[in-house]
Amino acid sequence: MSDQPWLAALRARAAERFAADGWPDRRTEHWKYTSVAPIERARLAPVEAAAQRAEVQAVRAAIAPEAADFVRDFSDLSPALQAEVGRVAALDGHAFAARNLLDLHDGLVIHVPRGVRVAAPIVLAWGTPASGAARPVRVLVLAEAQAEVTVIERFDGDGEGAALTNAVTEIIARDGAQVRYAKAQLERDGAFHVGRVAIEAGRDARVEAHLLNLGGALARTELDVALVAPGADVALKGLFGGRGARHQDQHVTVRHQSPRATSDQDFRGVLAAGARGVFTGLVHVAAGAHHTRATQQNRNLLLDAGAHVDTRPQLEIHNDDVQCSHGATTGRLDATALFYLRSRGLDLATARQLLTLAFAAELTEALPDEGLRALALDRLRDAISGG
Amino acid sequence: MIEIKNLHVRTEGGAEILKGLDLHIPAGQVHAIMGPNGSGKSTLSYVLAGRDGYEVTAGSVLFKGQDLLAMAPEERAHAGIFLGLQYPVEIPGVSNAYFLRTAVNAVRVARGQPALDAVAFMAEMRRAAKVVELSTEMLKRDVNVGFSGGEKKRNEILQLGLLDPEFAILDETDSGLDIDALSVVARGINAHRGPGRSFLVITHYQRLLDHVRPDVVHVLQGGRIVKTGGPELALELEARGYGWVTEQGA
Amino acid sequence: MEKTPDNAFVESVVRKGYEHGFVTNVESDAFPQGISEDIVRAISARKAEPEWLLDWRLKAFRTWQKMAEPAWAKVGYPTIDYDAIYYYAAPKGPAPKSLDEVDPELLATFEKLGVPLHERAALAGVAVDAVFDSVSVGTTFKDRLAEAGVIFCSFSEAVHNHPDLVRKYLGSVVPRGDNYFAALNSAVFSDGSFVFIPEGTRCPMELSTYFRINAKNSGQFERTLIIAERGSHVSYLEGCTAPQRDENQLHAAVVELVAHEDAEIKYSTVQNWYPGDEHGKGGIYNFVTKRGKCAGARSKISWTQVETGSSITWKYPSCVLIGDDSVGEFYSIALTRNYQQADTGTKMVHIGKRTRSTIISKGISAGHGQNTYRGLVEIHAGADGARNYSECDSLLIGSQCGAHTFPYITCGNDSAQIEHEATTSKISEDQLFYCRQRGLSEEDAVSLIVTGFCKEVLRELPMEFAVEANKLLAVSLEGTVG
Repeated sequence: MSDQPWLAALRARAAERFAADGWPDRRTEHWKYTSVAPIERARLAPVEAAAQRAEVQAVRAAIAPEAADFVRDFSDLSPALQAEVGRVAALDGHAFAARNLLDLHDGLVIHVPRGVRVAAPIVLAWGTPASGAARPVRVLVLAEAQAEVTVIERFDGDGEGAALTNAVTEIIARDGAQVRYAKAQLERDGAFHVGRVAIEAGRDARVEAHLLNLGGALARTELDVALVAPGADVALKGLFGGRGARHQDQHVTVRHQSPRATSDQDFRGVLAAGARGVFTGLVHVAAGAHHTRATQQNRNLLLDAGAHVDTRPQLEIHNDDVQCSHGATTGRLDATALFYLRSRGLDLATARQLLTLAFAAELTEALPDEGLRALALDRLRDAISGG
Repeated sequence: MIEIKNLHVRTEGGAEILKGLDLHIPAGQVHAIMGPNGSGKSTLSYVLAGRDGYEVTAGSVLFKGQDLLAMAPEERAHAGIFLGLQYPVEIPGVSNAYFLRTAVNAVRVARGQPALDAVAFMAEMRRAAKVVELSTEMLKRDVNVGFSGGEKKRNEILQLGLLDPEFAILDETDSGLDIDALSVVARGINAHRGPGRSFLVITHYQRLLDHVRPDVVHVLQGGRIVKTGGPELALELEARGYGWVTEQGA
Repeated sequence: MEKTPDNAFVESVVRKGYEHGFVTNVESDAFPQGISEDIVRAISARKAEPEWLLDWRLKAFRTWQKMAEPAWAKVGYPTIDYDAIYYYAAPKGPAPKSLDEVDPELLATFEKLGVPLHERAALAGVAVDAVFDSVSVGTTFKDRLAEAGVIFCSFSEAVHNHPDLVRKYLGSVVPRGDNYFAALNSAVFSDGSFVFIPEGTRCPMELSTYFRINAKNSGQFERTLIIAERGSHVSYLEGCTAPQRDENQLHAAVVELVAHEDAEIKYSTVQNWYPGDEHGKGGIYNFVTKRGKCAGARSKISWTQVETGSSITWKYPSCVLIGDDSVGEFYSIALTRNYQQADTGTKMVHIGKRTRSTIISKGISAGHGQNTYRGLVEIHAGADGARNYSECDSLLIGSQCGAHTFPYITCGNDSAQIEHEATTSKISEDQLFYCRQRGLSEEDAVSLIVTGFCKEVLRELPMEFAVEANKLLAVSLEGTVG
């Protein structure tokens, strides 16, 4: 089976872009704290078309039956839907997004018609990539006006060997739509994961996006949000970290392009024993975007001496009618709180675990799925105890 | 002193709040305006003081014969309008004493009086602070920053004393005060009563009026004055609630 | 309800906007325009410098030639033609040996700027080094300082009178190839101030350098070096102004501070270079490298700056905290209006144990002004118990301006504690109304609120400067509303 002409055309554009840009290096401001050299060195081979299609079908088959009707693959898209693929996640300056299209043969589109509420969460459980493989994953979530949907993407950590998942998810919430989205990156220790979640929020639309960046050897997820119409409201919540040789990078850009929109970011890192965390968050408020309200928080917990964190919370504001704030803190567990718990009879390990889980609790409790919460807590316990 | 005729006001791009309000306050009188929440009490005080965000769609306000609505907020202050705010604003980094002196001298100069030097002003301020029992410590602190509810309100009355207005509007000056603070504030207000000065006391409850006896009581409801009476009207409202006025009016 | 300012008022604001825009008519002795090895050699020769310093300059020049002008700052300006600049300009005639020999025209200039150089008239308790274009024209109270063992002189004098100190410390904090503008300065610097505070000495007076650019199309490349020996203390002030000209002029200075054990250096700047006119024409390009090294345990370096001038400001006064328990501070007010652009902030590099730093930055943007805070807090792996607190607030006045906050925080030690907070908002309508209800004009209300917004920084300035800075803020805010 050969690719659809529309996909071939996208790929041709991506090929051009990738040939021009190449892989990013750390001289690029956006990649200052993350080197992709290990990915280049691993010389991974793109997954063949047939294998990609088989994986897409497997993921689709596992979706709850009451939600399956809203999910289609690339062979079954109307011209209108075809035109939406690749629109929000622009390629300029995004070599990995270009590479994703370049290697891509199939993907999934979740299309929720106007006014429809999908009750059951749509869970996309991507399998684990084969050793030595570079796997592109592509999802488009399109919620028409007043539609409601919850989408969960999971990247689990079975198997072994080096591999790259290059995942691009586009989310379009039209006027008044409500989208809840969660991405759980829990890949195996030898794996690389580079992801991009591009969100476009329309008039009075509400998007809540959760990111769990807790697996892999080298992982980076970019969250690009455009608030394109008045009243749009986007909340981003991210939990990242782990123990050992991990590099977890979250790169957030929120663009307020329209008046009266709201955005909130809350990212927390828990890092131990050689793990390195990176947070970059930019709030950009365009000249006409009056009555903008934006907040941005990054809190990092360093559990022991080997942990490292780089954080860059940024505000770029081009008009005066705004209320924007950001904050960043980095530190270890509060010694007084630890002492207090121990004086009440808890041993040190339990006290540390309790306080660390408490540090992350606002984020884990907000997750839209019980199973996801359990997974996140497991990973955190591993990070704390070194298990 | 002040003559309000057929005043219609709406918020910028929003609903009409005042719908043909008429009010006349002669010199030397204290008028109280009572009314339920949302009746337009605070809007009236802001419109009289010239705050942005309100649109006067009809009507007129004359203050000592001048067209008040044509004036900037500071020009109204210079002319003798004072507004004691329900929620006095904090200005971090600016000491209360410095703020007061800047304000007093701005008003004095505009009225053709000589500005007060630091020594003369300090004496004035101490005298005025005594009336409302504000310590000199409070005068050194930043404007309203870290003040309790009662201290903020006493600070408003202190400013009233220093700025020497002819017409003072007190917007829910009693809200959030315990009984001791209330009596201090009330004493402060009474100290400033006189033949040349009129007051418009806006309140939700009758208890302030136990301390500051009004000449006239008005009931504001639905953006208009629906009833006017003597001090006994306040007591009646306290006993029977605002619903009674509505029923009567209907 | 809004007042429309009449024309006379607008004019008065524009005219009053920059009060130091006059030109002094002195004959200037300038080298030909442009930069080359010959110019570097000529500057060194004019100053009769030792061989090692010429060598140092030439190395810097060769490094600079290979470097590219940095493009990362959030400022935009036409390409600078480095060959159109005069790198050396000085009043004609032999160098004055004492203040009595200084050209009366120059004395009058500094008098007019509020910096009288006659010791009788000078501010009590402040010693001044006056730098005019490329040279120092005189230093006051030298004798009194000498009694305390304090050396305060022009950089050129220090090269001759204290060569060992200069050689030891020059480039020890800002290496000659540190960045593009520092390298340029290292090649062509012409004068500046030199301060040495001996062990255990508390400098008996405030030290101050007043920089004045006068000559047309000339650049000013001064170099300041302050060394505080063990247990000493000094407070140093810096002021700058320039004439009002339609052409942009380049100022690329380097300041190096070294604080040994238990020493403290307080460095305050009121920067009021000509900012350009209301259409963005003219003004100084201010590209400055300032860095302090807390070399010894318990040393402290504190930077305070009030930046209201220059069409472009690019400066990041920084602290390298090497000594255990050393302290770095950065207090900044940056005000941009008309078409001014400022990209300013600090770097706090924590290397020693229990090092502490505080960053308080207040940015005010009005008109078409663009104001960026850019800062780095870097905690090295060995900096056990390091602490940083940063607070960056921006105030916007008008819908055409911009405020940007770009902190970089890097932490490699789990016992460190870092806290960064930033807010951006417009000037509060509630506060404005409150002040106006009490009789203040809108302009006075803005000025009062902004002064309050800046108080945490203003109170760090020495008294004489705080008054000056307050006035400067008020003048700079005129015409930003209404």
